[in-house]
This record gives sequence, C-alpha cells and structure tokens, in this order.
Amino acid sequence: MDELRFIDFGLLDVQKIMSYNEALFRTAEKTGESVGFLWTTPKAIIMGYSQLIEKELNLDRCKALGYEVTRRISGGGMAFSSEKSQMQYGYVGRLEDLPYDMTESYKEICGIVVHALEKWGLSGEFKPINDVLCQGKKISGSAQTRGENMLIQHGTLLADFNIKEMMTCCNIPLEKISDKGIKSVEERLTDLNRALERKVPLDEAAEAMRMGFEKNFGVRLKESRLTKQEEKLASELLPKYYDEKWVFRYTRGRTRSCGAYPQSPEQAEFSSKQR
Amino acid sequence: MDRLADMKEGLHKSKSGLIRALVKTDNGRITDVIISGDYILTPERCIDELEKALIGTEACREKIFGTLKRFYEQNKFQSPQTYPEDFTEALMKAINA
Repeated sequence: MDELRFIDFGLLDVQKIMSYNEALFRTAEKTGESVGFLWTTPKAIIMGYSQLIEKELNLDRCKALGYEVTRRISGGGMAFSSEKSQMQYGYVGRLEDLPYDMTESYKEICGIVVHALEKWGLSGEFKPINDVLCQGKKISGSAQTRGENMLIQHGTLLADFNIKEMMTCCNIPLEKISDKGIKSVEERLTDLNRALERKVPLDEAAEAMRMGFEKNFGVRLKESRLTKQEEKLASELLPKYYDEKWVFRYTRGRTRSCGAYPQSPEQAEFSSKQR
Repeated sequence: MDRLADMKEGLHKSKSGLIRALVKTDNGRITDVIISGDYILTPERCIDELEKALIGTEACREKIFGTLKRFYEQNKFQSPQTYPEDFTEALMKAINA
C-alpha cells in the first residue's frame, strides 16, 4: 500500500498555519511530494483571496469577540474558525494525479470528508462546487488553488459551529441576527454535534479525518513534520499573514488594480509575466 | 486616500458565489476596478490580471463583455459556473449604481 506524508499540526495561530499551508504548497511545487495535514486555530476568520474585508466584515464586532482576521492564498468564501468549532484539513496533491476539471478535483479530494463521516455511520454527499452535505445540510466547505505542478485544497469539518458569532462578525445589521435569522442559517448548515446529537471531541474528529485520508486515497499515513526547508520558507512567509498590505490588500496594498502582496512569490510571478 | 470612497458597487450572484464589483469611471472609461467576492477562479492571480485588463475599457456593457470574453479566450484559468456574463452583470450594476 502506498504511503501519504501526513502532519497533525494540532492547535496553531491562524497566521502560522497559513504560512505552513503556503510553504508546504510551494515546496511541493518543486519536490512533487503529496502531503495531508490537519489543524485547528484559536478564533480566526480566514478570508478568501479576493474578498473585500471592508465590505464583508464588521471589524469592531470581530475584535470584540476576539477573532483574528487574515487572508489565504486560495479563493472562495471566508472560513470562521475557533478552537473547538471544527477540524481543518489540507491536502497538497499532484495535478497529474487529479482531474483537471476543478469541480471533479474538489469531488475527489472532498472524499476525505465523506469517508471521515463514515466513522459515525453518517452519509456525506458532495455538493458541487466545493461543499459536503450531511443530512442535506452543509457540514464542510473547501477552497483550492493551483500552481504549475501541484494543487492545495484546504477545508473544514464542522464540529460545534457558532452560527450567531459568525453572523455577528459579518457586516449585517444586528437586528437581522435574530432567532429567525439564525434558524434560517441552521436550516442550511450543520455540524457533528447536531448530526450526532452529542458533543464530539475534536480528537475524535481528527481520528475520523485520518481515516478519511487513508480510505479516500487508498494509502497508509506516514507521520511527518515540516522539513528544515519548509520551516525556513514558512518563517519567511509568516509576516505576510499579519501584514495589512496582504490582509487588506485592496485598500492598504501598494498597488491599485493588482493587489497581490508585494513580497510574495505570486506577486513576483505576476510581475515577471507582465514584463 | 480611501480607495473605496469614490467607487460604485454592484453585486451579482454567479453559480459559484457572489461577485462584488467596485468601479470608478472617468470620462466614460473604467479607471479603477475591484472584482471581489467569494466566487471561484483559479489561479487567483488571474483575478488581478483581469482587473488590470479592464482598466481603460469603455464603461458600457458591450465593451466590458468584449474585454472579459477576450480575457477568457487568452488566459488559462478555471472559473467553474462563473462566466464573462456574470462579471459583466456585476460591473454594469456598479456602473449604473
């Protein structure tokens, strides 16, 4: 049976884990090695590449509730994370091993979550483009970006999700965050606690996700940690995830219509293509 | 200077997510644009390149759609269930706001 390199990062600050995500992806672009990983973060909001924070979030309310805000390199919608609310996963895989079509590749990798749910006898269903449903409601969302040789997909398996806090952080009028408003989100969103009608400890969710990786790719996990090279790259990338020029890239970045982080590899790539 | 202060906003939902377009025009042409939202388009740097391609475009549906269609033809990216028509719709809503 093939092996898959696997890292369980445990609980980490969101900026740090974002730098690890990017470092694993960029290193794999050169080495071609696939890797799976898990993590959780303290309260954090991870914005998609092209989301305008100033319009999407109420930053005063985010701060009052203790949420850190950063931005990831992949697109799609914001992810609300906190220590006990969910287990988050990442997978860096070779493009040549995966479908070219994005929706098909989402489906293949989201199989990790579908298989993880089997641990509890729950039936997961992939919903295009990038969600997994359980009992007809969203329990997992994912985001993906691609390089020349590899893709990275990261996502979440909700365990104990606080819908009211998520709505409070969003830039919507407080009066809309009523029992009725929360109920309407509850009709579309679920988590392990709701699905199983009991408190599911996160280590149980982590164990299920490990099983999900193994079953989905037909592999045995090989426990690993960051290499020295990955750690070095991550430490170089870490300031980006705190930097307003990246996080608030549309309004506090150095450029007007091209908002990528000036010191980041994607900006260097972008600039070289413009020349 | 607050970049967003003199930009107009248009929202349109494509099948992959919300497109929130912000546009500034001068003399009938686009002088600044942000195509934000939670829609899916990869590689993401193409979003920056798309914004750049729109600068200088005449602020009318036909020209904007033309720029977007050309961009789709000339660049290698994927935007599942989001099409030039969707971006055009969001941009026109911003221009007419």
